[in-house]
Amino acid sequence: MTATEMHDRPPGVLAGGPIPPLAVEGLSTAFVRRGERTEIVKDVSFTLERGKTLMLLGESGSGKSVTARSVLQLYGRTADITGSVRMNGNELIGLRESEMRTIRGGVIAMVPQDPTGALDPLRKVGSQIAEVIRVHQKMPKQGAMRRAEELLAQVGITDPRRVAASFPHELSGGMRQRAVIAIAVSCDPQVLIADEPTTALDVTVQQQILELIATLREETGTAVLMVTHDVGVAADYGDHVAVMYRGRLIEQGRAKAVLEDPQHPYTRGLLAAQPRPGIARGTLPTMIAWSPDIDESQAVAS
Amino acid sequence: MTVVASARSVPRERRRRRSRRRLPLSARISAAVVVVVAVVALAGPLVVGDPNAGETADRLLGAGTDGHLLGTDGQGRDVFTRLVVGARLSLLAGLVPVLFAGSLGTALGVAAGLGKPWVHRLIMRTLDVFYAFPAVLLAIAIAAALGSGISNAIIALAVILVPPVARVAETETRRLVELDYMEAARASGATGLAVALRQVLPNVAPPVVVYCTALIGLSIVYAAGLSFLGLGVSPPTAEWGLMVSDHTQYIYTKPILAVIPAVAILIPSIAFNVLGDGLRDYLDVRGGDR
Amino acid sequence: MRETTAAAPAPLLRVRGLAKTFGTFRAVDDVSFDVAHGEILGIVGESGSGKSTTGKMCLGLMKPDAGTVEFDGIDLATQSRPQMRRLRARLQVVPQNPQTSLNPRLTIAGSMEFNMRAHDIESRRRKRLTVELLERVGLTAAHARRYPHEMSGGQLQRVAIARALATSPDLVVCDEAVSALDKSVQAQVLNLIADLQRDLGVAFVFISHDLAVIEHICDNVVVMYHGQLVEHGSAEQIWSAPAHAYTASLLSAIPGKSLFKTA
Repeated sequence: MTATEMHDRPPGVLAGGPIPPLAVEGLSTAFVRRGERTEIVKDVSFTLERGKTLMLLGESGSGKSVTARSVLQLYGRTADITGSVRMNGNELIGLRESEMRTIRGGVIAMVPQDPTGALDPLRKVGSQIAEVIRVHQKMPKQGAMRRAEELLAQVGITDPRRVAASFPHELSGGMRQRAVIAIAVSCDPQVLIADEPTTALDVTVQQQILELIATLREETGTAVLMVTHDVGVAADYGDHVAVMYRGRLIEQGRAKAVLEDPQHPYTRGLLAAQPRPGIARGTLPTMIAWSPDIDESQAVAS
Repeated sequence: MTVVASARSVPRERRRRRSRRRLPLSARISAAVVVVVAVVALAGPLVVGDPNAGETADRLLGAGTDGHLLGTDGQGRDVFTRLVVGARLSLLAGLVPVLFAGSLGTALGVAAGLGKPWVHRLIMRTLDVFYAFPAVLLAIAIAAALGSGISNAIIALAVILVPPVARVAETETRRLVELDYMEAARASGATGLAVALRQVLPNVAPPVVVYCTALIGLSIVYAAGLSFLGLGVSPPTAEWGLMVSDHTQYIYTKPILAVIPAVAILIPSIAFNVLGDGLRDYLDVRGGDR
Repeated sequence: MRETTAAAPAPLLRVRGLAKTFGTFRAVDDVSFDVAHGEILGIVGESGSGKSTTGKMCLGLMKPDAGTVEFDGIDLATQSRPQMRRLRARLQVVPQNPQTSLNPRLTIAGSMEFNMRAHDIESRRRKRLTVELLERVGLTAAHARRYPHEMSGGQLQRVAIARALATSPDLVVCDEAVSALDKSVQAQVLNLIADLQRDLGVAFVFISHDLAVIEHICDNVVVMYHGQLVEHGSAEQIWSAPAHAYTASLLSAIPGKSLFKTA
């Protein structure tokens, strides 16, 4: 059982409240390649609260993306996933792929990091959204197209008809990300998993997208699990923060508590390393005394 | 309920392992075959007898008779001896054209890839002229124009092999030119030649080497083909292609005779091809082109 | 009567009226600024702002459609190819992506010595210099023999900096040099750059989209938007009192400003 910094009781189950939309306990993910087993995620536990955002914060190699994808069981047979992932009390680990497929996109939706990769370049955006709708709900084509346009308007696109009739490459990065979010929310998911949804975007667009996700969350009560490496994003848009390092969850709690009064040395170091006014040049605190063989940006062999 | 974390110090970063790949089994076997053929080609003629010694009385003997391992041909000459002696010529005809084409082709390809548009056009369009002809026909035409003899056959093969090698080198160079480190190399103030030799070549060499290894196999077959048509060596030289040509007249009486040198041609040819395949994976991983 | 104010020392880099168009797209439009000896100038902007293109033109890697780039009084446009090559010893670059800015088939030493050979540094001195530079950036002689794929992003970026320093440049252009790094590693590299400026007096042109990083490391800042220079001032002034609306919007979009209050 991992010892982690907990600032307060984790929400949901322990507090004796309603069944959480997503409860992860002891999740471990290992990849086996050529006979070698590499543990990427080690014994991670957290719970999501309805209408709230949990930020999974970590640097590269921390295992945060793998954790998010393990929840959705996107790795199939290439990964060995153990532990418990319960959605509304129902265990997801061990489900057949066909059952997971109905859950993915329908009840748990994902917003991936790179919108360009997530969209089919050869099909118009509107029809891609419509297709996802029709996979999860019985709807005639016309109805689905109309719903697609509604969704595009909901994600803040001012000319939904034009965008629905466009190909992905005709849209800007921000619009593509909005389209991908539209797909994600199309079936009213209970849980939204966003994997670094703004990394590829400019900071002004990033702000808009994060606001959009927050607004959608308010309107629908979806629980959001957001993976990020940006401490600022976690501070501004997270209700709870879980900090990951080398596959382990080393600290979690309410965002304000974790980020303003970090307990774990790694979290402290991560916050101290952020450049900000008032710090003299050349004196950014670095986590450990620099030594040539130790390097924070560990690249976990994948 | 605050739980103190196990704040262990950051463990030593494990040095990312130098990927230690090995050649796949098939490639290692092929390498062994190539070595065997090379040894036979180099040392064999010193051990076996005279390839031209033969009496008509002994013609067309079966395998194993009278100490003839593979029998005798239409003129009573020991087939095995001729096979061993012919190995040298066949290997030569396989290696020399490829060595030449490999060097010249790489130089042309890299120059085309790095050079100004007009240089690129000049080189590639010239090569395209050669590409317009089917390679075999072109080899035949050149060899016929130059006259018979193994050296003319080698020249002909060298010429036709330059364009494909140049194309491989050019494609790879063009791909490299876009990469970050090439821009950094240009920004360093090095001359174009320095960039070509020390930045481009180490990257172009592996795919070219892999390609050339397969080309050796091809060249051996083409050389045998030229001799078969009477354009390479002339009788009574022991050479595999010529042996196939010579033995085909007995195809109805003693079919095995024609098959033997043909199989001999195939063995190193296939071996080089498989070796080339195996080399490709081996070289790729070591370089780690990420 | 002569003016009593002393003339300011000539800038190391003087850019005037720089412009570059790709087809119909105006990437850079009338950009002008100076970089003094030993100064760190930041160029901040989002994607499409033209900052990288400007950086390339400062390095002489791209010919401007209009305007001049003067390095130590020398107009780059007047330089022949051999002259430009020699000038590059003093004008180096650290690219963004550490994983691809080094030739994967060369050892670290190979990549570094390539730059040195380009400027006629003899063999024995090259080896010594390589070790010196690696140690200066916090690595060891052992790293010289390694290949890029055996090292992490942070280590590789240090190598890239060491390589840039190999010819004792006066100016180094860092094109989003820390953007691909984790924040903890970024802190180390930023400290390194600060040390180099202090110890060697090297000037830097620091291109980034991250205003917090720019404010921290730069003396002066130039803000670019859609190819144009919209604001120019000291780092403190840009951060605390931005004059242009775009700069203000950039500032307000930075997440986590609540964290800046806590030390």
